Amino acid sequence: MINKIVLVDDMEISNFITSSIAKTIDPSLSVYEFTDAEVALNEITDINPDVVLLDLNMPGMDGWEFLDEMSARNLNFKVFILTSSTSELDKRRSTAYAQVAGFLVKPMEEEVLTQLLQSA
Amino acid sequence: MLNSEDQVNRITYEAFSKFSNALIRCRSFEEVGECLKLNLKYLFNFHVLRASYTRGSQHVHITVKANHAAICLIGKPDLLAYEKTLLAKGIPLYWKAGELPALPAVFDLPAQEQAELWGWLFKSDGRQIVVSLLAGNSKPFTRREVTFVKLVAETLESKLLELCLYRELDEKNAMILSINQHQQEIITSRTREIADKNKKLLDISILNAHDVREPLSRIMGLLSLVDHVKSPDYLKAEILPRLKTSSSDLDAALKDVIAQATNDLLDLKA
Repeated sequence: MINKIVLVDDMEISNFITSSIAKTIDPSLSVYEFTDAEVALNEITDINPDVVLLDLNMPGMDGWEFLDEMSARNLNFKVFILTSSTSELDKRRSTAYAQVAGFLVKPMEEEVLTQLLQSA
Repeated sequence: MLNSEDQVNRITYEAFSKFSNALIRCRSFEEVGECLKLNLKYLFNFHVLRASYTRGSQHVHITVKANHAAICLIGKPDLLAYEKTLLAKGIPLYWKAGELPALPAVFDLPAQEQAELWGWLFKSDGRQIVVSLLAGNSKPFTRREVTFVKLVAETLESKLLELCLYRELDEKNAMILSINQHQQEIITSRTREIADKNKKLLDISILNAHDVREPLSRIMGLLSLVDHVKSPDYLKAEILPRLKTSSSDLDAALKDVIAQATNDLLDLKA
């Protein structure tokens, strides 16, 4: 059962969309929103989420660096990439990370998130 | 019955036919020199035979002796003084023993030979060749043999013209080849340039599509939320301002794309 999800996306609006959909699906869900990947990385251990939804293109620390840093710190939280990039190259690159469980393309859809919350 | 003069003529014509056939087969100036050395002595007597021929900027000078032939092809005429006289006067000339003009060492003969010099300028159809020969007591030349000298001169002139034309053709071919090569290089480099430009344009289009897709995906996401909105106030306070921001971002992204693509196109053209 999923109780806590972390959203990492530099665009507040993207997080707003995902969190709105998530709360429609399950109002009891705790959603932690971050627009700065570094801040998210520092707080993620305390939050101990069931799932992380991670954007790739971000200023400062981007999604790839976030994943590298997770590996370096031995953090094994389940990550779904959520990006507006439809690039096959990004998709292939993401499979190299053990903690990445899926590659989702924005906009997040209710059915996709429902399935994700049930399966995760 | 043939008289003795007819017989001499018949033998000489046979020798000329042999010479002419050998000359036709020559493919280089050296072969021409060799052919003259081998065959001319059967046609008429001489100690030294010299021929000078000019075509455009190609000048050919041939000197033939009993056991030696020299042929040179040069870019500047190297006419002997008496050859210039022959060219200037255009009539056959004869210098008897004791009145010879200054001659190079190759013409040197022992005094008892009583050397005499014969010279002609043969002209036909705007083509010409200067032929001269040095005769003497042991190799006497007579006026009757001029017919054969003329035949040799005309055949030789045709052969030299042919060889000069081959050389000109080779030069032109080399020039065409080098032009072709140059063009091939230009085509290769242009093709590479175009391929590079195409790749750049493709890269640009991919980058641009990503930049545009980001705000567009927000607009689509926000619109999908509208179904779940319970109050007009929430729509007005939470959704519409974000839609407005995202639309502005999309507009800005598209303007960027256009500006960027324009710049890149200008760069590529430069």
